[in-house]
Amino acid sequence: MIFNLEGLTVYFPYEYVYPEQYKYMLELKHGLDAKGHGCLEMPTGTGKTITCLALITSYQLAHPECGKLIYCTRTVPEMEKVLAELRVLQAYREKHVGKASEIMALGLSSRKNMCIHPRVADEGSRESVDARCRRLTASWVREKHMDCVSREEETSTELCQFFEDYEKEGPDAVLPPGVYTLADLREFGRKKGWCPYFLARHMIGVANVVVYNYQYLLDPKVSSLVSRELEKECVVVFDEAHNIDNVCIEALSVNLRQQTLDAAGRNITSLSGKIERAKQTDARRLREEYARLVDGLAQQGVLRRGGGEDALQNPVIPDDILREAVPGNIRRAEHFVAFLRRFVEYLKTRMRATQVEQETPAAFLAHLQRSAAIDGKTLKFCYDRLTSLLKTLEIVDTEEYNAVSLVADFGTLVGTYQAGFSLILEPYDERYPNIPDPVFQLCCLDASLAVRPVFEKFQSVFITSGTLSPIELYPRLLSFNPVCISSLPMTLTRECLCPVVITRGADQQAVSTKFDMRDDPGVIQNYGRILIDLAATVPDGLVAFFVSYSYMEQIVSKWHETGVLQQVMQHKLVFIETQDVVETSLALDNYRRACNCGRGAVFLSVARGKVAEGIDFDRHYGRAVIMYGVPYQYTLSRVLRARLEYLRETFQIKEADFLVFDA
Amino acid sequence: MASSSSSSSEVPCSVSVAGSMTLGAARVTGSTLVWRPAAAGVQGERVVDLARVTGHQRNKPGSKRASLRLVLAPGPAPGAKPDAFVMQFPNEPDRDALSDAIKAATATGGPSSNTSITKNEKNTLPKTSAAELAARDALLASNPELAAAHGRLVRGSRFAKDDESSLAAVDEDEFWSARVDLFTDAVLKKGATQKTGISNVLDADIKGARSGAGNSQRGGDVVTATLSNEKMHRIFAERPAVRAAFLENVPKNMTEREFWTRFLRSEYFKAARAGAPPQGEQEAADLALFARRPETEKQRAATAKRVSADVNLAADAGDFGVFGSASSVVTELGAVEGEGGRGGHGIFRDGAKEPPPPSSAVAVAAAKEGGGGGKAAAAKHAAMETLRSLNHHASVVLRGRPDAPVTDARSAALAAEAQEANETLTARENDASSGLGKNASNDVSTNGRMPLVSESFVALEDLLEKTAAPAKTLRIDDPSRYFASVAETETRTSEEASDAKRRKKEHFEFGEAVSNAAAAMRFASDKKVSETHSPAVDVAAARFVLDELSSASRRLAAASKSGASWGGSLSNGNLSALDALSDSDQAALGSIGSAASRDAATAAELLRHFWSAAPLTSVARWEKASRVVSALGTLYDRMDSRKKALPNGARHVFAQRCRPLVSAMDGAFSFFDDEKRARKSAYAAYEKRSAAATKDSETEKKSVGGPEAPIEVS
Repeated sequence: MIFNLEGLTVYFPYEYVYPEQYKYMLELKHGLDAKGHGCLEMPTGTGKTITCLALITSYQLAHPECGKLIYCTRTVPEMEKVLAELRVLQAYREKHVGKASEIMALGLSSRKNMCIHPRVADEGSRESVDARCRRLTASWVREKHMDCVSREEETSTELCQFFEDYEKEGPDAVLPPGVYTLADLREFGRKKGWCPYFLARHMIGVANVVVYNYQYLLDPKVSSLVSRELEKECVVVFDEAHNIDNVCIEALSVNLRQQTLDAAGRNITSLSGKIERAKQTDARRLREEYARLVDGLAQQGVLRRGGGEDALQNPVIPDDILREAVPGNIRRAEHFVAFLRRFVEYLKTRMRATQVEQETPAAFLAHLQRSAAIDGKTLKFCYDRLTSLLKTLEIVDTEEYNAVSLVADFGTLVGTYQAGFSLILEPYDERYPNIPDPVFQLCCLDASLAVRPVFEKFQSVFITSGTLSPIELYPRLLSFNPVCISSLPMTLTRECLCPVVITRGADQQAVSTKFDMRDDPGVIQNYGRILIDLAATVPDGLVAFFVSYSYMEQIVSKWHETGVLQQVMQHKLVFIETQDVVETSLALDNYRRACNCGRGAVFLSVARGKVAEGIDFDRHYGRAVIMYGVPYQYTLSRVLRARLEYLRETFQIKEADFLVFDA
Repeated sequence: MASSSSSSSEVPCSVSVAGSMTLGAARVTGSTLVWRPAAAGVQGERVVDLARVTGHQRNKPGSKRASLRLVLAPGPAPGAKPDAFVMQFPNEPDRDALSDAIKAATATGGPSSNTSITKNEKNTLPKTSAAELAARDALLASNPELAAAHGRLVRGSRFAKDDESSLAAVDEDEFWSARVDLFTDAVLKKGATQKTGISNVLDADIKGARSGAGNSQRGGDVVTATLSNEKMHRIFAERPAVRAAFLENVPKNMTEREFWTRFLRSEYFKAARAGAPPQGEQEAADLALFARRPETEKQRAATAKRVSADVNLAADAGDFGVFGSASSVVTELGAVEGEGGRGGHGIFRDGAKEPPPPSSAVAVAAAKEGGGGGKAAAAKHAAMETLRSLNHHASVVLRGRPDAPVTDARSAALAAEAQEANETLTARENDASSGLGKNASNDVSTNGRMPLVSESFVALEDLLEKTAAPAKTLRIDDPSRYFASVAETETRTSEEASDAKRRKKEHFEFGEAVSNAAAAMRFASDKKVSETHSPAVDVAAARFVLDELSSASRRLAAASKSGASWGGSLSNGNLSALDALSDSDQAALGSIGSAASRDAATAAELLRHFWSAAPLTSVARWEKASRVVSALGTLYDRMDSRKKALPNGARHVFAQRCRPLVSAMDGAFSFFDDEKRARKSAYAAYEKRSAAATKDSETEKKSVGGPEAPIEVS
């Protein structure tokens, strides 16, 4: 339907609009008119995504000065769903407005999901795909190759033909308008012989709608690479943003483990070996680097030579990076390596602690100064200096040097931020206290740090989700001033939800997931009974959520032993979420197949887990839902306690408020 | 005697009611025998369904009491025994009258019915399903020849033409039963894609039964387990590691029996130890042999790729700290050996997140040391294995039965392997053909609410009709081009479509084959082969082949002079006979050709039906046979008159051609007459019935479709 919303013609691809959708659009429009930020809550299943897309694209059509829509999702499946909706919208607009309204929309993901190079794409993990890609596309690799070709010599190096063809086209390599999912981009890339990843990154500049992951905006390591050139007029939407604070915090946190430090030590040794070799063969390069560092040019883009070698960027928010020359004591490569070795050794000694330790960055730096004679200022440049060194040494296998760059990230973050961070050293996992497994955690406590640049840079940022309650807490947590803040109810035309709270089992025994009761065989048996009975009566798909993985594993093993699962299997197949994502995805896929073919299935999952947060159990995929208990956070977690303390001190947010909000 | 059409007269007789013989009267009404006690107020009326009567016994003439015993088929209740119904009569004629009435009723399925088969026989016939009826209709609609045959042969056919109604001598079901092969495909197609699944049940029973103490001679305590092919397949499907162990070691390193013994023993001990470490080297070795092998990174990537896009959590797992850092991505290898061990960005031990589980190595080490934490880790590891096996079990169930027959352990292993590979393959195809986005674009309807991907219907996969491969229209004007194009499409559909060289080769292969064949015929003695690489066949060679073929067929026809029949068309088989005829004779023969061949086909079909009725032991069979014989007689006369109308030369040819058919018909007629003598009683019963039926039909002013009196042909 096409309707007029306070003077704005809205193209909505469906025949009817729900009242809450109308209100949602109204709020959005007010926010856009005021060029401010907003915070909107509307329940799941009310068509949030299409409402949001329809209004903002219509607004773009009416106000050409409005920038592009940047739609941030948490996962690739969500991204695909948004693009599918957008395609429907696009078809509708084309029908009613004509070609003039054509929009250009695309999704962006990592190389792993976009690469079409036959061998690189077969690599399993993101890191290995990135590394293989860099090995084929790094500027010095290409230069060397070109050199050899121009001298008509046999070349040992190999290039990626897709990247080369794309580069050859230069700025002429453009996508025709339309909606492109990742699969479409890959298809297009194959047809044209262009690299879809770099094409998509290039096309972000001209697209009307960009759908990508939160991290491309929030994580300084990637945002400075991908989203740096976005204009101020952009409209940013964070969908499913109820966990955005966690994402922000994760983006600025680093954890180090024993293995990391060991690997970093090996990295440093191999680096110094490379430096020695470079000194003998190509001392000029090292001298040039030194000169650059003296001039303080390292961060000013001189090093960026184009090509596909771009590694992760500085972990610190761009504004916080010091625009200064690298201090003298780490300008020479061998000095820097020695410095790094000292730092790693210091961290290793800290790791040997048997007690849990928690300290502020300031205390950490003071201790570091005392025992290893490393000052915070030098530490700040750790990351840049390492990047410069890796580039100078022309290292493409950045994957191998992950450990040392992680240590450098750690150093840079500790050196840069004094407030809002905390260092926690846990010598073992509390769940397995006899297994030593030390983790040195630098955790960010302030979610607003990572998100602040986004609010500052873009004129309108909307945070939306099905559950944003209490909605007042978000502006405080993320420290921004919304112009519109609204929580919309869902209109139900019939009683389609039937919640039942079960407090007692069939044998009248009280059931609960309280810690002291959850292991009671009676409780486990009663929970199993509930599952069996529901599986016997509910058609198609049935989903059950547990409070945690460990509880689920425990109860499922018990059910397996006592034959409860056998009884459930008389009615339905059983699928279980595991901590292995690949296996979980496969289980989900099979779960859907089982529902589709009429056999029916039970999916056992974890509340707040990947599946619960990322997957829709709509229609026959979820005819009934069982929640075994209410999933509160594990309040004894040190990270959480540090954060609660910080929140109380800085934002005057009560602990209980936060925990309820979180649950 | 059964005189009226609906019911016989009442016969006085006594029947045992509550243990004492009670006087009453019995009569046959329709297909039931009803007995009522004579005295008013006495209970115990009996109704016997004559369709149930399987035995019929009169006592000897001159017995003290004339009695009749009917043996009734067991009722529908499970385990019911045959029933008997005994009646005593005051005199023998009464008994015989009732007996005859009952016999007549059981023989024909009731006096009033005109059906040719008795109730009992009819009940054993399979019921025609709706799908079959639909298939019949479809066949008749699509095949005019079949419809014409239906019209000629089937009584009351809607395709019947007036002039040929005299030939209609078979029933609908009989007509189709001779053509089962035509429509079984069509009927089966409805459920062709329906697969039989396998049960959800978790473990095939492989633990075996323990004999307890046992006797010392047989080795004491023995555990006995039985394996079937299905069980083996299930084991191989659920445990790829066991399958791999089997394929690697049997029969190279151990016998099959040894393998299964080791496997079952290992399973038994695993269950018995309940998580405790194995005892003894052999047990540990067995455990290691059958332990799950971790997937490689490549396999994981392949698995991740075949998952549909909207549930693929793995797509961006570990890309950033979306759901935690890379460190919380648990890999197969566990936390320590895998990438998770290296730490990373994000928060590692968060309250909300579960820490990655300890790796198997750590768990085993901790279990050895004992202690609370170690046990917890080991339990966690075991739980993860359980979860994984449950998920795998479910996917195995979804895979269903193997396509290949499973006859022994090896074929079971191979079938399981093929299924697994097949799953990967089909999933990949699905991924390639229906991306999420593409679905949406197809679904965009012209107006109103456009269905989203998630809203579109999910069709049950086994109800979808399989699309047949596109048929290529046969064009014989230029065969070489046709075959070339067929070859081309075949190559294109095959996986290596890009391989243009191969296509070219196939293209030549056909041409080569034909020209080589021609050359071989032509130069039978010398080996020289003319190299013609053009797609078209060498004209001279083709001409030679054609000549050779026609002369060969002519020779064949001459050799078997009477071999030709009207069943076939007027093709080269009869060339020699036709060649000898004058033009006018040929024309005369040609003019009756199609009608004559149609008659011949009808006669052949009728003969088949006739012989299917032999031996003529029952009234129903007699009825059918005489119906068919009468129709055959009509045909015989028609052929005779047709022959007489022909000019001399043509008549001879015609007679020669008809000879086999005529002799077959003669055989049928003489058999029919022989049977009349050989099976007098059945024939008499039939005559009685048909006489009654004709009388009935006459009284009912000639109802339609009644059987006609047999025409004597000899």
